[in-house]
This record gives sequence, structure tokens and C-alpha cells, in this order.
Amino acid sequence: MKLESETTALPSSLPGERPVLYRAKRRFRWGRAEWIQAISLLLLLLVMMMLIVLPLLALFRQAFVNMDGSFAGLTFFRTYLESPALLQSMRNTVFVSFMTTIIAVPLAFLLAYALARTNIRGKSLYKAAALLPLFAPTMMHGIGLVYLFGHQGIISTGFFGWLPFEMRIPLYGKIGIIISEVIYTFPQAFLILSAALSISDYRLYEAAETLGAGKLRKLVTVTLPSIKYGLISAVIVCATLSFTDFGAPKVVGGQYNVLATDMFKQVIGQQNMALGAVVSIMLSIPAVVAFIIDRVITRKQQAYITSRSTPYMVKPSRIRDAWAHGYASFVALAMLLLLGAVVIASLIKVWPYNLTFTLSKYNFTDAAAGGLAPFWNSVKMALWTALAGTCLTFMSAYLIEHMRVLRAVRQASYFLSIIPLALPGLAIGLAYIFFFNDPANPLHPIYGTMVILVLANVAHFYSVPFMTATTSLKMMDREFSSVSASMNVSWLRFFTRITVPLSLPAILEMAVYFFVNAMVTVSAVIFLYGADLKLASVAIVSMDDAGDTAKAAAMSVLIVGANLLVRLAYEGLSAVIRKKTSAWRTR
Amino acid sequence: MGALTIAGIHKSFGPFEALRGIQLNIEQGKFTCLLGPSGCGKTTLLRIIAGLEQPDRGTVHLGSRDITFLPPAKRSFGIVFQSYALFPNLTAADNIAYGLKGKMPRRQIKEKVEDMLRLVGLESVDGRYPAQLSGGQQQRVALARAIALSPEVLLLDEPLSALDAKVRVKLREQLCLLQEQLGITTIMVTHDQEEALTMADQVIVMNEGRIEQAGTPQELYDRPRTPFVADFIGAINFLPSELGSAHVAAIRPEHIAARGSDDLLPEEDGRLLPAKILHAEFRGSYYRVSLQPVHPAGQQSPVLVDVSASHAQKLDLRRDAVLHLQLPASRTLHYPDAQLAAQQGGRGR
Repeated sequence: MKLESETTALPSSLPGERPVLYRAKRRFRWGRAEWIQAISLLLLLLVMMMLIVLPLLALFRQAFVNMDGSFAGLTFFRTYLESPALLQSMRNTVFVSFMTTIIAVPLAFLLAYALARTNIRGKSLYKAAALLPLFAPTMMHGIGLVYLFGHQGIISTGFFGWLPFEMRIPLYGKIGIIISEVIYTFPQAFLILSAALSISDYRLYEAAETLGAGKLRKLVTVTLPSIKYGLISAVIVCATLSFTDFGAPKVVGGQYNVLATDMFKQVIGQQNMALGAVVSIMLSIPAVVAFIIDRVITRKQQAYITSRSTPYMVKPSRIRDAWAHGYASFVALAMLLLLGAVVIASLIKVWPYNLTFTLSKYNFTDAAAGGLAPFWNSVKMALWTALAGTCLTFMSAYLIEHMRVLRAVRQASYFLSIIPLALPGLAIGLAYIFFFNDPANPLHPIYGTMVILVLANVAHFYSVPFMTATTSLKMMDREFSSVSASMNVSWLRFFTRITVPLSLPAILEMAVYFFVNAMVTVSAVIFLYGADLKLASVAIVSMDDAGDTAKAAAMSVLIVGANLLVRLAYEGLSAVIRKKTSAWRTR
Repeated sequence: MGALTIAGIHKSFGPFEALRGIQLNIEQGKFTCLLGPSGCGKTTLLRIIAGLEQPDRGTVHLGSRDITFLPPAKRSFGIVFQSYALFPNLTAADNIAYGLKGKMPRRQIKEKVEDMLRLVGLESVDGRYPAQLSGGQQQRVALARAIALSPEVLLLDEPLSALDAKVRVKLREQLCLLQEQLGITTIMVTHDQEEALTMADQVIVMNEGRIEQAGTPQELYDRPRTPFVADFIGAINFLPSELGSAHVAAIRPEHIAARGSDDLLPEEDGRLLPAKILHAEFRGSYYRVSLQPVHPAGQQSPVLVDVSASHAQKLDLRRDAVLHLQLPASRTLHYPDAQLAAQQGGRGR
């Protein structure tokens, strides 16, 4: 393809002349801005190393090293694999995880479908009810089930004998765990599937219809392919969460052991740190593998939706809407019943014998917990987590997304930012003990203080807010920073005047996510809280252990209450911001 | 200040060579258009001039100053992007003031913003947010923001392509007037040949990372140096050349005269080609007629001819009617055949 443009080429620009290229590249010297960028990125990587990599290395080390410091090789893993009890726990965990997934995903899909593809009223109420479990610690699902289906449960006793028959199920053990995990994972799967269903292209349905496809054919050829990646993600999330959960098996597991409770027993009960580390590695491996599979598969997703896609249009159908109403009400009722049972149990004198109203269960002074201090500790920890976590995740998303230097460092930081999604809280908690409780570590003084709790929570819940921030930053016009740079406006001014205001909705969402999760979590913090720093979620576990179930219920209600309050404040604030900024969002 | 001199610029993105040795001189105060099909490297070249990309090889000089690796902030170039990149959370006035803050006293900024708004005719919408403005208004705010800092060079990346046809034509005029008024060196990227021809003092036609031809619009239209330029700017017919099979002749539809068999003039210069009408397309003031030569001596493809509406009345523009096409030698261009083959192999139109 030789055209006349040869005359425009320089004599020195022969193809393959590497030295010229090299010299030209070297001439691009870093200015002050590039150095600041590079230093910020390295600082970020350092923080990520401290939060995630070094503690995990300490965990690995523990699994391969003897008490006296000599290398143990796979000794502990062999001990583990030769213990029939531990292997049984492994089988139990897989079974629970499998059952939870095949129950929760279809149930969540039905609700997501009922809300996305029908014309029923009250969708936001149904949705709110379905999301309720997100605001509660997983122990609460177990406690609620105990009050509904336990030995003295409302339903199992046939409403305290009002009904002529009893409805008993063998709650304690695998059934209780599976029901709890279904409740726990349901909202997560529901959110993923709702998002998947909301981005379908109606044109495809119209095309299928004009080609004579029936309902079933449309479902199989259009709907399912379009939500394929959402389904895979939902399956993986449900399987991972139920595989690693600690709270529900602790409360309703009875003699049915799973990996998470095993690990707790090894560490707290028997002080067997090495075996605890082995179990936590066993706990993490499937989660990490599943996570990587999910990332690889969903990477292909992009092409399905184009800018020409049209939103789904719901056709009127009374029968379908009636079914949808029925199912959505059933789900909402089940969630409210569970929460209701816990609330009622916390307000009653002696379940089920003396059903008079009392607030005494909210007086924790005589309980194993010791006053309301754990609750306020939790609130304080959640606030600090929200503050530190939001700042850190937003800054890291910003640095990774917007800096132009040190590509490898940015990629490494990105990977480290999404990996916590796959790490079980128990593994993070244990890793933090090993890392920070080492007297040789200069950060040792934070062990047993609020700081380590906040750090563990930030690391544990890092990934979702990080991705929220990244998505929000990606939505900003790529050329904004170019425009700003061409006008010689400082980075700081651009950041405060443009980047942060445009990302404010995402920032609030991230803060709420950190707060709510820090309030409900038990797994990461149960190894880390100091003697004088008990937390609400830990108090629930210890009160339940001590047989003080009603007080455990009361503490759960306080946590849910605090979370709902924060959520409502968030909704209110968001509404104000939306109103204030409506002029620059829509025409 | 001074002319922009671009020498030996190469730029690759992985295996893709976006620019292959660009040599270019842009005079101070002139309006220059970078024209070419998508993927020809014109936007990459603009980004290198702006400092948003660094070339693998070559230099960019402004006057005698080497600015190849100068960051955009240090260049004092104004940029208007295709998407405008207006900050959605700032009003029109705040967008324009954005780059001025801290560089002059507050009162002066206010005056400057008012001046700019008046300059682009948007005094009344200063308090509105970009989402509340029409596409044309957004474009003018972006322009005002870019020139508020009195840059030495104004860079425009397809500034009109997102607008309706009517608005586009109007803004074309405004942009030209403004450029003349301010006398600012302006470089605009466009894929629209009409835009380039009507607006620019100098047009640079690019293809596959190289410059095909640079010149005034008139030069490019009348004396296109390659078949690519001839075909990209305006319409043109390629015919077998009488210079032999190694060459190809080219002539624009409006330079071919169509005659009925009864009004054949005595032999003028050039060739006479009898051809059958395939299709006549009404275009208001003229018809564009597509004809198949009757004796296809090497000429397979149809020939396009423009016939003025008044002349068309005298002719019989029915399908299969035969017209005699007169191809004046003075208007006929000749190229080596290899160039055309290369171009036709490379284009996807």
C-alpha cells in the first residue's frame, strides 16, 4: 500500500530502528506530578500489603511451621486429613453449601423475576422486606428459627397449642443451618439476579415473538442466556457465603460440625493455632477458586448489551401478576415473621410460659455481655470502619483508575483490592492474630485495640465498595482530567471540585455498606476483640452459648435497629442530594 | 508563539501503527483541518499535539520551542473534545471560570466569563447546568471554556459531529467567524470532508497513519495528488486512461457534459463516451445520473454524471436511454494504476 506520503516520512524513520525509539522514550522525563503519582501508588501498595498480603503470609507460615519454629511441611495437613471428625466437617460444609445454593438461587430468581417482569404494586416494599437479612447478623437468622421451629417455637408447638397439631422439624443440625444460610444468601442472590434481569434487551423478545416463539422458548433462548453471567455469579456467591459462614452454624448447628465452627474450636477451644490455620486455608481455597472462575467467566459479559438496547416492557397479565403478588408476599412474610419472632422474643418475660411484655431483656448488665458497652463499641467500630474504609477504597480506586504511571503496581493493587471478596472472615481474623500479635511487628501495639478491629473490617469488606467506586469513576468522562490538565488546574482542585461531587452518591453507598457489615460481622472480629472491647455480635454468640437466647435476640434487634436507622438516614440524605443535583442529572 | 512544526512523528499502540512518519507545518493564526476516515490517526495526532499522548519518535515544536514531552498543563493549548467533557456539576458560567480560578482576581474572572458568554452568544444561560443546555449550546460553552485562558493554539476534536445537521451548519459559520476574530491558531479533527472544505485555510488529508496531501481546500479538490484524496473529497469517476493500461484517468461528475444524440457539438477536446442510463437521482438543483458505457472497452463500472436541473429537461433521463458523455482533457486527472489498486484494496466503502 505505497502511496505518495513517502515524501512526508523522515529519512531516519526506517522501520525497526530501535535506538531512535529508545532515545525518544527516555526523553520523556517524569515531572513533579509523575513523582507524586508514583509515590501515592507505592504507598497504596504498601497499605494493601499490610492489610492483606502480610497477614495471609503469616497465616500460611503458621500452617507449615512447628511450635519451635522448624519447618513442618505438610504435617499439619496430614493430621487434618487423617482426622475422621474433621473430614466429616468438610463433607458437611460441602453439603450445606450445595443445598443452600440450589435452594436460594431459584427462590431468589423467582422473586427477582416477579419484581422485574410484572406490573405488581408495592415492589419497593417487597424488595425492602427481601433485603432485611442484610441488616442482621447471621446468628439472628438462627435465633429467629429457634423461636419459630425450636423445641418451644411458635410454629413447632402449633402456636403454643392453639392448633390441634404440632409442626415439628429437626431444626438443630443441618436443616437449621441450611434454612439460615438460605435466608442469609437470599438477598445477595436476589440483588445480583435483579441487576441481571434489569439489563435485558426487549428487542430480542420482540424478535423472538415475531418469529413465533412461545413463552418457554423465549425463556430458554432469550431470558436465560441474557442472565447467564448473573446466574453464575449468584451461584458462586451463595456457595461461597454458606461455605464460610460461622454465625448460623454456631447457633443452630448443634452437633453438626462445619469447617467454620471447627476452626473456631481449634483456635479458641484447643489453642491449636496450626490446625486452625490449616482449616482456614481449607476454608479459603474453594472460595478463592470459585472467585477466580467467576472473574474469568463474567469478563466475557460486556458484549451482550449495546447502547441500542431497549428496556423490557411488561405486558398486562392478571394471572401472572397474581402469582407474582402471592410469591412476593410469601417471601416478605417469611422475612418479617423471622424478624418479628426475634423482636417479640426480646420483649417477652419467659418464652413461652409467661408471655407478658417486658423491656428487661434489653438490660444487659447481668448478662454475659456486660451492659450496653458492646453495642456502643460496635457502633464506634462501624463508624470508624465506614470512615477509614470509604476513604481508603475511594482513594485506591481513584489512584488505580486515574494514574498513568507504574502500570504493574496499579494492576497488583487492583488484584489485591478484589481478592478480599473471596476471603472468609475467620481466615482474615486468624491471619491478623498471627501477623499483629507477633512482638517483632512494629504494629504490635494495635493488637487488642479498636484499630485492629477497624483494619480487619476494612480488609474484609474492601472489595464491594472498591468496585462501587471504580464503577462510579469509570462513568466519568475520560476527558475530564485532560480538560483540567490543559487548563493548568491543580490535581487537588480537580479532585475536590469535580471528582468527589460527581461520586458523592457512590461514596455514601460505600460508607453505608462498610457500616452495616461492620455491625453484623462476627467472623473476622471474634478472634481480635480485646478483653475490654467486647462487640455486640460477639456478645450475641456468648449470650446464646450461655443459654441467654432472649438477650441474644434483644442484642440482635439493637443491631438491626441501628442498621435500619443508618440506612434510613442514607436514603434521606440521598434524596436530598438527588433533589439538589437534579438540575445537572436530567434535562 | 509561532508556527507549529511537527516532524517525523511515529506512534504505535501495540502492533497497530497509528502514525507512520508525520511531517507537518501549521502556520500561526490559520485554521487547519485534519481530515480522514476513522482510524487514519488524525485524533492520535491531535492528542500528541495536545500533549495527551507521547509519540514514539519525532518532535513537536511551537515556534523554536520543543514541546514534544511538555505536559498539557504547560502548553497553554485550549481543547474542545467530541464529548465536550463539560463538568455536569458546574453551571455554564462555572465551567468557563474553572480554569481561571486562582489565576486572576475574582472580579476579573467574572468579567472574563461574561465576555466569553457574550462572545459565543450565551449570555442568557450562564446559570444553567450542561444537562439543561441543547447540544449546540453545550458545544459553545465548551468552546468558551477552551478559549477563556487565551490559549496559543485551539484544538478541536470533531467538535460538531454530535450535532444535528442544521445546527452543525450554523455553528460552522460561528466557529469560523470566531477564529478569524481572535486570530488563534486552530487545528480541528474531522471526518466530514464538507466541514473541512468549508472551514479550513489548510486541509491535511490523512489515511492509514500517513499524510496523503496537505493544501488549501481548492487545491485538494482541483488537484488531488492521489486517487484516495480524489475519492475522499467530493465524488469522482475512475476510467481507463488513454495513457495506457499502467495508468488510470479520473474525472469528477460535474465536469462531464452529457449530450443527447441530437445536440452533439463539433468535437471538443477530450473523449466522447456513449453510455446507457441506469438510474437518475434527483438532488434539487441537479440530477446525479449513473450510466453504463455502451462499449465497455475495459470500463466495467458505471459512470456518474451531474446534469443541471434545467439541462435535464432537455434530455430524456429515462432508464436505458443513451447519452453521449464528453470528458474534457483539461479536467481529467491521471494516476498510476497501482495507486488505485492499492486504494481500492484498502478501503471498505
